[in-house]
Amino acid sequence: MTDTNEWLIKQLGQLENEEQSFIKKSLYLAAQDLVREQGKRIEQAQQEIDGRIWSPDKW
Amino acid sequence: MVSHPNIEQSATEAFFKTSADFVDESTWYSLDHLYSKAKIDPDREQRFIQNFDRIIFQFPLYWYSSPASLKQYMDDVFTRKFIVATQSLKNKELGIVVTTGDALTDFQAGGSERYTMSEILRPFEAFANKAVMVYLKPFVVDQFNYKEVTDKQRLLVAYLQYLNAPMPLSLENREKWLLAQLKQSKLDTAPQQQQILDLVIGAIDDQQDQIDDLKMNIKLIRDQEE
Repeated sequence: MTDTNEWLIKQLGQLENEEQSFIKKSLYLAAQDLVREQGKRIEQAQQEIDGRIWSPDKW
Repeated sequence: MVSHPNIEQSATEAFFKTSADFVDESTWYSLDHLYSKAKIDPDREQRFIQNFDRIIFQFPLYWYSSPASLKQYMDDVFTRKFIVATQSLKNKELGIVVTTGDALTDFQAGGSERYTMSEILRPFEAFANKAVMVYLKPFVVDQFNYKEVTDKQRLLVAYLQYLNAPMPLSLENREKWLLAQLKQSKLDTAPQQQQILDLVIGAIDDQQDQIDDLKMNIKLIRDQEE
């Protein structure tokens, strides 16, 4: 996980804990899930690019 | 459009009603209340329903179908003229929110319920087809009472998205929807939290741009390969 993602999840977790409304708490939790999903997509996309660029067919 | 004979006693429906009230553009419509008052006026109902872009039938699964009030409403209001001749609901979205006490995993070949939800809900899909509506993936809520708090939090957000996020619920559409909600909820938070939320919203948006760029690069590389 990148530093940005760690920071985002920490901030959103704090907002969730401080919030009283169940709906807003849920939105902050959903935002944490979204950040994790974004992180995974970025990592997978970067790996796919590396894989395709370094394909042995192109050596 | 909620069909539930004991709506006041249902914790699940109370949860969804409170959630739905959060969405300004949504209208909660109890069919059992409607039928408890007087005879309904089909013309009025037809005019009313045309005001909406997304129509959602919400009900507990009763013997593999909806409770009676939804069927009654469909029979009374969705006349052949309204649905087929004038295609009055054409291109509107039809969603189904169905709750069941059985586990969703039972609804499959080899499971105790044997048939899938897609099969069980087929009459609604057939109706959407006839009405030239866009049938959304049904939103199935199983065993609500067994869910943990965090599961309920996630369910709540997924339900709100089902009510008014643009379809399909791709990462991009969910991101846009969620950021709009965070911007909205920012308005009634303390100044310090507003600052944090601004940074958070900006960072999430930047990440989405990064994902879009990466996707485009991958597409370029893939297209060159074949």
